[in-house]
Amino acid sequence: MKKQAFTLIEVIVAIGIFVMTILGIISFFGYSAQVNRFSKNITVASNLAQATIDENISKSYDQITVGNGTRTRFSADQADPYYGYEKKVDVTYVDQNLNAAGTNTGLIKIVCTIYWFEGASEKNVQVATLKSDF
Amino acid sequence: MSKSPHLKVIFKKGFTLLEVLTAAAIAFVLLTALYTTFVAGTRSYRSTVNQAELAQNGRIALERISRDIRQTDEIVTTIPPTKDDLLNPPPNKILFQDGHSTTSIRYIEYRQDGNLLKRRTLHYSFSSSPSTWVLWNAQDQFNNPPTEHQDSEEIKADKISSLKFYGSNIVTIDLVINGSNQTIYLKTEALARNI
Repeated sequence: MKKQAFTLIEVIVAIGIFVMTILGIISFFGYSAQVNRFSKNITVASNLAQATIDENISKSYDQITVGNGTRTRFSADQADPYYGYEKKVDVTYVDQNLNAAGTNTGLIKIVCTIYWFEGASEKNVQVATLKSDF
Repeated sequence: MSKSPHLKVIFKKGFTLLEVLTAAAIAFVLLTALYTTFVAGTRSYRSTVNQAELAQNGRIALERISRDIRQTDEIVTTIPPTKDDLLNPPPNKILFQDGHSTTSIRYIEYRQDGNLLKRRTLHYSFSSSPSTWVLWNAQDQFNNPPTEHQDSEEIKADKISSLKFYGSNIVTIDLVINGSNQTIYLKTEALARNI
């Protein structure tokens, strides 16, 4: 009878495998929460990007500065729900084929990028529009 | 007789008390681990579904309001330029002309009603000529204002805990969605392109 029983090593290995399986399953939840947070942040950031686009559309062609913008926070107040989001507006002259042009072609491409951090990794969404000088 | 060898065999095949206790203890630990995993799974699922529902409501609310505001010809509601002026707080409703309606003068109103976002369409007319829809600030020959008539009212979103309209030139729509201890803050800006 003693020969048929499991040895201590066998039992420990079996429990070890079981624990690793459980830990593996639990790590799915962490990943799922992470993906979930990412999708929520994309929703927030897309709406902020659309807001930035509308702000720029409301300006006249000459009011918009061509060149790369600087990254600015949506709010300086840390308690503000949008403190973690930064926006950057890049404006370039483009030709009729939407390729970058060096001179004022009467057509600009406005690219709004919203940045945020999830832990250490930086994420962003980008929305672009065109504006013509008419 | 033949009884004792039988008994002997049975006793040899049994488990000792120590073995049973050890097995029960291991089974208990394993089942507890499984149960904890199951509970964590259920909780994670519920929270994901809840957050998806909140995000869904927020998206649809912002999408519908900003789409209508972008097309409008005139915003009737006076809104403050900033969110934080205590003397001039931002309203939780907005009335504006329906820019999608090309034939008749129609108005749209969005408002927060409890936790619901409601969209109302309405028109204005004088009692002397109810079929002629006029501007909200029109006057008849006696300088009387027109009467308001509601055409429809629909619920567009749920779980809204706060809705604010503010901004000059561009309308900022500030939305807080809340349910089951989770909160999502959303805001966007809509420029009325036809004004």
